[in-house]
Amino acid sequence: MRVGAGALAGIGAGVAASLASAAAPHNGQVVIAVTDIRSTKGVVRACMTMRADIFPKCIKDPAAFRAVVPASATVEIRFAGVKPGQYAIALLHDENGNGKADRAMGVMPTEGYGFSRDAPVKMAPPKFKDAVFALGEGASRVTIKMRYFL
Amino acid sequence: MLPAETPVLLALLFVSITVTAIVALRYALISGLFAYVTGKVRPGIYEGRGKQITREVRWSLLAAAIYGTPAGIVLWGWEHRGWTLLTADWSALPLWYHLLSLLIYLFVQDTCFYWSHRWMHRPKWFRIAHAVHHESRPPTAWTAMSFHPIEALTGAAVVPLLVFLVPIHVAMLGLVLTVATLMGVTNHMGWEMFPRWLVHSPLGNWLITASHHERHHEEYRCNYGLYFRFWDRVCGTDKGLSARIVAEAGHGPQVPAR
Repeated sequence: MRVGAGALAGIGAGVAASLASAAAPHNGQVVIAVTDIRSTKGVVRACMTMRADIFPKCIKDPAAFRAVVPASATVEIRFAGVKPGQYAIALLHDENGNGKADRAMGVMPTEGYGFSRDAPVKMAPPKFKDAVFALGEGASRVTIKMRYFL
Repeated sequence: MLPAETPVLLALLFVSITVTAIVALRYALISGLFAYVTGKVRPGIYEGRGKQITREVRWSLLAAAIYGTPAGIVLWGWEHRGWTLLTADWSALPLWYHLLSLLIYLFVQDTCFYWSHRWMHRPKWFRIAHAVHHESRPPTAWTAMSFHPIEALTGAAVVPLLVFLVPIHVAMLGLVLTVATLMGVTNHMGWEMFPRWLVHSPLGNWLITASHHERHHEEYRCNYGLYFRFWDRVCGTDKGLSARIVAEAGHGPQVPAR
C-alpha cells in the first residue's frame, strides 16, 4: 500500500514526540520556609543552584533560581519549574538592602545567613556537599533557619 | 577551607603553620605599632638596644609556633570534627553570658598565669624556663612574646583547653585574644599609656598596666599577675607601682606650685 512521505514523516514525528514526553520528568517546585529572622529590616535574598563550584555565591550561576522578598518574622519563598536534581540553597538577610553580605572588619558577618540542611557555618560558608539535597518531581518543602554571627 | 580529602596529618600541619603565621604577624604588627608609638612619645628609650630587641623577636617567633600550633589544631577540630564549645551563632548564648564569658576567660587566664609565673620564679624553674624573658632589662614593646619554649607552653595551653570547657562565641574569643595581645605589649613597652585618673583610681588598684608590670621586671619576686591585681593582693605579692614609670608619666603626687 502506498503511504505518502509526509504521512510517514508525521507518524515518525508523532512516535518520536511520545517517546520524548514519556522520558522527560515533570518539573517540581519547592517552598522554602525561613525561620528565626530577627527583624523586619531589609530583604531576604534566596538563591538555589546545582553548581558546587560557585556555591554559595549563586550570583555566578545564570541558571540559579533567585528570589528577593521583604523580611518579616517568617518568610516563604517558592521556586517552581524546577528540574529534579541536586540543589543547594543560600539565604541572606540583607538588612540594609545593599545586596551584599556585610562583614565587620572584613571578616565577621553582620547580617543573617542560612543554608539548606542547616549546613554549619564556623569559619567559612558551608561547602556545597554539606548543603546539597535532592529535589524530585512534585512539591517539596524545606525549612531553613536564619542564623546571625553578630 | 581545606579540601575534604586532605589527609588529617597534612591538614593539621597546614593549619598549624597558618595559625603560627597569623600569630607571628599579629606580634609583628602590634609590637611594631607600639614600638613606633614609643619612638614618638619617649624618643630614644630603645636606643642602642638592637641586640636585645633582636633576641626578643627571635624568641617571640619561636613562641608564635608554640601558641599557633594548638590553636590551629583546635580550630581545625571545631571546623571538621565538631570539637569544643565554640559557637558562631550569636543567639546560641544569652547576651549577658557573652560578657560573662569574656570575663571568665580573662580571669582563668590570669589565674593560671599568676600561679605558673610564681612557680617560674623559684630558682630552678627560673633558670630553666623564665630567665629568657627576664633577659629583657628593661623590657620593650617586643618583649611581649619573648618566652623560652617551656614558658610558652604554659601560656599556650590555656585558651585551647578552655574552649573545650567554657562556651564562648568566636567574636568574644577574638576580644579575649585582642585584650591579651594589647595588654601583653603595652605592659612591657616601658611607659604608661593609660591616664592618671585610671591607673591611680579604685579601678586601677585592681588592673595591671605598665606601671605595675614594670615593677615586676625591676624587682622580680613580686607583681606576678597578668590582667588583674587580685591574686597579688590576696597573696601579698603586690608591691605597688614602678616609681620610675609613675614619675616619667607625670603621675606622681601633684606638688602645688610655689
